[in-house]
Amino acid sequence: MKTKLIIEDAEDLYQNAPFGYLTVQSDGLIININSTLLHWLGYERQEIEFQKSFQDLLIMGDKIYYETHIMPMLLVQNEIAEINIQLKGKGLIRLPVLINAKRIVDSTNQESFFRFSLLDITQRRKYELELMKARKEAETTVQQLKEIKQDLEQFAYVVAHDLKTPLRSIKGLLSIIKNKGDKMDNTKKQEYFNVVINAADDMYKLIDSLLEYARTGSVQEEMQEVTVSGIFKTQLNFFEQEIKKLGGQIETHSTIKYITVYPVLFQQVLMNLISNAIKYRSETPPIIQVTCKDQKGYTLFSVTDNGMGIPTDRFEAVFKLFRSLNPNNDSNGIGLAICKKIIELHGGTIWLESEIGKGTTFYFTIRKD
Amino acid sequence: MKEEILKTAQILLVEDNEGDILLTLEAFEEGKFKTKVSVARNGREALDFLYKRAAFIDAQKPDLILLDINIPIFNGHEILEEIKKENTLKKIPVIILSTSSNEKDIERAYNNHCNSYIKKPLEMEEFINAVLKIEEFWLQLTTLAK
Repeated sequence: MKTKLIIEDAEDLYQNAPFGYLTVQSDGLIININSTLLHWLGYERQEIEFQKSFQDLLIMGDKIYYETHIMPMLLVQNEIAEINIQLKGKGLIRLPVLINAKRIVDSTNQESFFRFSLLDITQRRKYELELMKARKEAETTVQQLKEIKQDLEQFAYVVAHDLKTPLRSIKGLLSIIKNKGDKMDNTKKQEYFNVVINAADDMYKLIDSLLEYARTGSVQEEMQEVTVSGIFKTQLNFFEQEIKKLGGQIETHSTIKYITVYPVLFQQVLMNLISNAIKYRSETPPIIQVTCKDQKGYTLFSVTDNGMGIPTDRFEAVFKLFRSLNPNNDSNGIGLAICKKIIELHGGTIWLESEIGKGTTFYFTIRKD
Repeated sequence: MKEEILKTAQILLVEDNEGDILLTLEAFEEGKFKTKVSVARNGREALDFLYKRAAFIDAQKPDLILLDINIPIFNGHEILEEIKKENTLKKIPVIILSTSSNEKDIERAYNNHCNSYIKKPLEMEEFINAVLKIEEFWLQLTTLAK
């Protein structure tokens, strides 16, 4: 019974409580600190009492917070509760704590003291960080799922819509041929059959394009550091002759040396944009400029032409599957949709500026890290 | 009334999809009115027909125009604008018959005074039916300007 009483005396309750305690003067000088807190911080008593002020135990940001918020609040309200700060212990010891504090006034000389109790929240902090991390991961996943859903919706729309158009022709014309039977003359029948066969070919082409779009990015290719000049050279080799034949020219300019990309996919983007610039040229010979420069954490590319231009209300639609502006211009309507998909794989965006009759500039970024 | 029914209605179909062209022609054939459907397969042909130019010098002014939006050279919006700007053409009803369900297309078409906007039905029977309804509404129920 006696031992229990000694352990439970006030001094021991103060020194060895599962809480950190300290008392400071109004200038912050620590005049009393309990053993628990000394142990947490790794200091000896004589290093702290009347040697250090509470501010000395704080990192810079919290020091300012202490002086501009904690102390003024204590002086006005006489107490504060559950303020989250970080204490600096000996060496590399850092201790996240919740502090409660109370103002005590000495009845003899009216001097103010402040008692602090500090709760170690290292574990809680860890949980919080883990929670934050998990939440961030969840948000990213939700975002990815949203994008996949949008992709799927568009895919479904295309299948429902663009595949049904030729199918309507096929079914419609075959039904007519069947119903009319011999009443239909042979030439007409042949004409109908030809249209049916062409419509079936259209369906093949659509399905091939859909598969090509779906496969983009699913083939595993390693990200690689490559030179911009090398990328540009490949494009020039591919297009220069064709452009010269048309009496036009192509120029490239870069202020960046290296980029990290999926090389094959990335080349495909430039290839699509440049061949569009040639395909949709105006009456004048095509003049095409390709540039590359730095832009805050991204690399910005542009492909400018002097072609026929794109109407403003189609700026977004052109990047959607099968929304080609020029049906029958041997365009399969997936080039820009594929570009968009590839650029997004590189953490970037693609957009355009254009004026009818003057030309178009496609811009796209890729993330540097 | 009787006279009007007997008269052959001139219809201009502006459409580039061969299958849709044939289906539309079949539908008009099935319909109860005497119609003559001329086909323009792109924007230029449509304007040539309306202005009786090039291969269409002998073209008759249509009583009704069925216009697809997504066609080569000049698109349906441009053709519609031209028709509704032109004094000699603007009273001709223009029915947009398009696969586009894009709000922007619909709004633009009505802003340019199309007479109605019809989304091409995806099923063959509904497509034929839509053409028959267009015929009934515009050639029977409606009184057109002479």
